[in-house]
Amino acid sequence: MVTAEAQARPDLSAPLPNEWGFEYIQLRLPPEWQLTEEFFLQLCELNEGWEFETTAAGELVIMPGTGLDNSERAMLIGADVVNWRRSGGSGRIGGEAGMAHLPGGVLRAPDVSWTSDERMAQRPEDYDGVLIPVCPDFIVEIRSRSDSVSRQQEKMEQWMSFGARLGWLIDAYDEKVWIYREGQGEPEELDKPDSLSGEDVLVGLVVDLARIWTD
Amino acid sequence: MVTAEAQARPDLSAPLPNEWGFEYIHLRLPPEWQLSEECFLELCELNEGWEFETTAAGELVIMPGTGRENSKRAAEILVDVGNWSRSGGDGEYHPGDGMVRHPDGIMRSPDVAWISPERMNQRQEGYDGVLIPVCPDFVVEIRSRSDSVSRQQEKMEQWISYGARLGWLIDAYSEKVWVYREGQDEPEELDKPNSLSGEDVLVGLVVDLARIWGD
Repeated sequence: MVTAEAQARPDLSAPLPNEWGFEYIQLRLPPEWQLTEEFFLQLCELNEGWEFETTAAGELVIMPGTGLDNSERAMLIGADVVNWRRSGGSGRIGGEAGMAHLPGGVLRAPDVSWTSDERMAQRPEDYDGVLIPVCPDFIVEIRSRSDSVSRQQEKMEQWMSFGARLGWLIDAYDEKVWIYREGQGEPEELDKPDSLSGEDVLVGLVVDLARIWTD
Repeated sequence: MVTAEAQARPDLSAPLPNEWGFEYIHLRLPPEWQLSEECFLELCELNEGWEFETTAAGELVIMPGTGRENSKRAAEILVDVGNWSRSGGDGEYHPGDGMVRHPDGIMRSPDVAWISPERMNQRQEGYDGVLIPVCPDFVVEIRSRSDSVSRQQEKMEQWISYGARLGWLIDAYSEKVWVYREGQDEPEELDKPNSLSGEDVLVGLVVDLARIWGD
């Protein structure tokens, strides 16, 4: 939803310049500060309202939490995935707090995720149910107003390289969706589609996007 | 200087809301991550372009570096303080990366600082650290566009409580200066003063503010 207030604001597809605040921090840590799973989860617990991720280089990424508009968009998509599973689907569904443990120790939470039973079966024996132990099959990222399209596209490409089979990048401000598929070099760009299909990954899933665009 | 571009933007005396990015973060650290002087300096070195401070509660404050406009304002004031110091005023003066370490472990850097020879002599014997070991006699803070007036005022009150004798909070966007004095509960608020005096702390110093207001 692009409100009149939003239109009066500057171009937000580019990162915010320094003096106006910033959209995220990629913090390099002193070697004494080990970024273990335990400390990472402590950070998340101690700092409510903030979201954390790690990079392959061991940096700590700190971002503001999702705002209401995008939190609702993620819920609407998640609800369709939940309904799909109730009527015969399977697997595990994650919301924006569902953090995936990826190769190289990278920890990252997509806005919505679905992990098949086959992938969940690869979890370690002492799996404690906190993190998604593998890369999800399906992930959805919703661009926040302060985030740049190019940074989100880069993240999507990383998800695919980690092993996601289907990914949707939803940009409600430009009313675009990019669909990333396993083995496909470039994403498919769609202009304000009415709905999206789970294709051969979440077979039978159809997500209605009318409420996502809310115009 | 309030440009037309700045006027078109939302009220920036308040902190930026989440979805538009953010101005700073108070990060609570896992207890195992000791915020020692060594780790703190490593953080500063590893993360160029960012500024770090610590709070009394042991949180790590992360802010974007100073933008060009305010860096220039700080330099104008520093030149006047430097000239005054060289022509008999004595003491040592520091730009915004001069980090002060308070006795309670708090580390913080004002935009301009001046320390009298008497205070420098009070430092702990044998101190050879890279931080400024005493509270400066005089501090200047310049509000950045993304920062709130109330947060900066709180910082000024802390400087005075740590022992600063004279402090200037300069807000070029609302064209105001608040002068904080040792032993005086409330700061004096000035509307776009032409100049400021070093009073009885930097005796004889006069800082011309014409270039600060930039009109």
